[in-house]
Amino acid sequence: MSEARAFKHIGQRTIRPDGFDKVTGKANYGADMSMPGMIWGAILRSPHAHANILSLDTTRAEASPDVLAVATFQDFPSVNDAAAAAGTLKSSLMETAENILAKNKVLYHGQAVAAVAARTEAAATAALALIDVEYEPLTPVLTIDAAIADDAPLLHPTMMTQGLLEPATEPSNIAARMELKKGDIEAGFAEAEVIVERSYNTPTVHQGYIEPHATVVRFDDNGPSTIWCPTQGHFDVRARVAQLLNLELGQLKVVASEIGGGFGGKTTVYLEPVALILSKKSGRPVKMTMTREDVFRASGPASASQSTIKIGAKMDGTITAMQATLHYEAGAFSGSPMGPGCMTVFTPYDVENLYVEGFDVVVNKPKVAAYRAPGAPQSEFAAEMAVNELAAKIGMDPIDLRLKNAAKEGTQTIYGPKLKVVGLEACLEAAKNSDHYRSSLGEHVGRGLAAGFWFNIGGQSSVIINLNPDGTGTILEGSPDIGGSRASMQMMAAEVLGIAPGKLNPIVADTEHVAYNQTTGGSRTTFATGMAVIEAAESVVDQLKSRAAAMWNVTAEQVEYSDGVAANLAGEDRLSLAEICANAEKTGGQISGTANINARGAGPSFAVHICDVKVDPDTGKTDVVRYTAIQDAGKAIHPSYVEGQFQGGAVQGIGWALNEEYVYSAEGVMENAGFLDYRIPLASDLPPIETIIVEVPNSFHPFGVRGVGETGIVPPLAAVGTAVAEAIGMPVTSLPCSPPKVLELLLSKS
Amino acid sequence: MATLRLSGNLETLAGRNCIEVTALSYRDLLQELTVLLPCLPSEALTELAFVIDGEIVDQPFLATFEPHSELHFIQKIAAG
Amino acid sequence: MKAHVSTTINQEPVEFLCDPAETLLKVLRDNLGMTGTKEGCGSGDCGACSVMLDGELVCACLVLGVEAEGARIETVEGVASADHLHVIQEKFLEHAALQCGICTPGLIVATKALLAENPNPTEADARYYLAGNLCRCTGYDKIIKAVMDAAETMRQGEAHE
Repeated sequence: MSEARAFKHIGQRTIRPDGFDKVTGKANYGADMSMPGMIWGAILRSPHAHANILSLDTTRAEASPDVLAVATFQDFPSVNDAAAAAGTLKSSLMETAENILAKNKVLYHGQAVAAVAARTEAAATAALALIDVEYEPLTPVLTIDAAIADDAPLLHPTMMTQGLLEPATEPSNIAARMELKKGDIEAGFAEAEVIVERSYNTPTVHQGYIEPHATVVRFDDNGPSTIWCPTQGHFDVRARVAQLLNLELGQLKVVASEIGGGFGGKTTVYLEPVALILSKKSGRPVKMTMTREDVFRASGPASASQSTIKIGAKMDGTITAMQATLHYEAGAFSGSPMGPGCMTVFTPYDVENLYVEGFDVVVNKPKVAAYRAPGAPQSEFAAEMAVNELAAKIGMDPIDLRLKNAAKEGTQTIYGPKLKVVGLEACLEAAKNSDHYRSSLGEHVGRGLAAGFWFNIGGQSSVIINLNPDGTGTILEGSPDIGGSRASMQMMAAEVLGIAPGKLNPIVADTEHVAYNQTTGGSRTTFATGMAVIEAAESVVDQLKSRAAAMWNVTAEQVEYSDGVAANLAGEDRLSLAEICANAEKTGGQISGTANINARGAGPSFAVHICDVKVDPDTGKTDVVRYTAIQDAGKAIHPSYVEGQFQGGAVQGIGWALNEEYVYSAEGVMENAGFLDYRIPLASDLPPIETIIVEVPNSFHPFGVRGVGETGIVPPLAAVGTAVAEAIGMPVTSLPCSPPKVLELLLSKS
Repeated sequence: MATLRLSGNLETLAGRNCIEVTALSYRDLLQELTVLLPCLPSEALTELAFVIDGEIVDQPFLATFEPHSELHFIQKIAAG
Repeated sequence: MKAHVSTTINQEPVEFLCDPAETLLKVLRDNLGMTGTKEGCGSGDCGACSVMLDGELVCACLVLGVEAEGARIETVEGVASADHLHVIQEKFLEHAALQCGICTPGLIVATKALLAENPNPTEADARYYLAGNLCRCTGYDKIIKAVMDAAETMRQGEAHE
């Protein structure tokens, strides 16, 4: 594709079609739904971080006139021991079920144990006291070190480590090991003239979406039951709930409400299956919501990590070897993003000799969920910190060091494939030429720079475009819109059809009204669903041409279509899209384009961030005083929302680096389960976030799009960490750089 | 012959990092591997993403490759 | 025993029954169906439920429903007029100052309160005034730009009148 391609709508800053409802309060999110006859569900949660459930007695609750239904693990029909023993997938189904309602053991404080439904929210909450549970408390395992210690209490007494060189003979808290290598790591280090080696750790953090999980479910015997919920993937909600409750997919209809943030955290189910059980038992629609405290304690945060990085290089900056040992906390059940963490850790570098070993470790904390580029911020934080230390050690500019070793087209990645055309070098050059990087620094101010990589994915998307007789139309898509994607769908369809974007109404349809769509995640929506929109719109254009041809009694080949107008190449005839639509009834009926695709060729996105921080030497408080995010978007469909993704990712990363962490008591109780004490960045904490959109087109997408949603959270951890280290003149190895920790570093120095 | 490159746990299981295959389609490759590398369980392979010449192929049963192609199985990426 | 409350919401007289322990937020959302006001935390930390109570910006989750008796309440539903958006709402849309939109109603109400108190805020004024309204999607950059632009547009509007 040509970079010079002229677009009419793509690249404009249009008003998003769902914006009016969102600024007026009309948009309906998860908890905004009510149904006639609706009752409320509430969940009893574990007071222990690690305990055996000796007995669970719901008799008193069931006997209460206020209680209309009770649910426990026993209500999962298809999850039995046989299924659990049969294999990986089935045992993970068991773990999914146990994470929704505990079976015979609780593995984190706040884990759901049982649920009730009553006529009011207050009555449901009060009725939880009528459930009697007897626990045998066990020692909680709260850190990676504690979990991998020889005498560690086991969370899952039969869990054997997968992926060892020799099959495991003893159970352990290490669920899996992964190894990736390229070249000869020993030879690489032997060649090195300078070695940097250091260990780093990052805390458990939460995605921090402002909307708590919520659902309204109506069980129906005679047709599909309805689940209303805020989710990144309503088709996946349908699949998971159906699997857990032994239903056919056709027995469930999932409606994706507006979603108040997800960032990966709304890609699984917690309340939905419980509400369905309660609705079935009570015969009433059931609403369930999490409190903010529940969200922190019992949804899926992001893994804490421990990483050791070793880098060997020549004095001219040529990196000869990079090695990483990465441990990720999975929470209570196996399945941290250790895999992608291993795959991404060194991907910004074109280095001959690489070795990465990763471990997935269970601890008595909530089961982690995806969080924006899952696994990458943790491992790339460690790698980028070490690269910056190397730059300082050999006296080389960190951008020059990266340019010398930058991944580019043809670079062999550690996980296998060679990279196609990527924009890392372009981002580094843009950083080097930025006003920010050329500016000077004040007193107590440090500057950090870091790169970041994330794969981005394609996958299945389905779209239907229907045109009305007056030339307006609807775009039925199935990708929940978490950040303005309806606007880009509208713009891409408008570009192909040659009409104003406002003529088309993009609708996120439920599971009954559009074919399967993969979850909104992996930065796939604008890329993959966008491709489906383009394909559906192109099919509409073909139909418009043949309809015009029919009216002119010529062949479709004799019709040219551009800018919303069909032209008869054999004469002077012209028909606008609206005129063709007005005559659709007489030329073959409804004009409608569909596309069902499995999009290939998602383009990875690299980013480079620059951060200046000022550290107060008396208190250790760190303020970000200037910040620039530079990222390759391939092609920015709606530049404002692309910038918004860069800025939002950067600020989540700043929060991760500076303040956010789960603070646990010795008993394994999270002590800061609220927004006052788990402090996400506020408006007053931040400077403007400057952005530079780099556009190195992805040749697989008709308009050149790469995903942009996730990469932006990868570089900030090391950009901020390095800036703090520079400001205080001490190495930073542990996040967050919160005031007490920075003050401790300052005091240890003097 | 196309080259299948093995990394990570597949390399560990297979005891080698690459193997030449005569197959020119995904289906044939899976069959060939049951003979060449019986230590690689095909259920495990079909759980992985398939890569032809550096490109992840989402519809492997529809894809063919060339005798000089380089093939990989890698972890599926989902994400947030 | 439920309390009977007579109040004014967005200039209209409203009566409702509520449990004395119920928050104004719960009353607005569940008893009156006014779900434009959102719940993000229930503890006054996120500002998603920002409303005006007798001219004061408050978190509806920290006010009891019974405290609405005789009071004047303004919510996001009352910000736009029947035929056009408020300048603040227009500027939020123009500047792409929302992504998921869950914090937006609270921010619109809080911005309106800011500009009523201080029609000519500095960027720092805006950032500190809105520090009680959490947004996890945008990094605040575009929100602050929208607020500053709205302030300027409103000042020009006043100057023309």
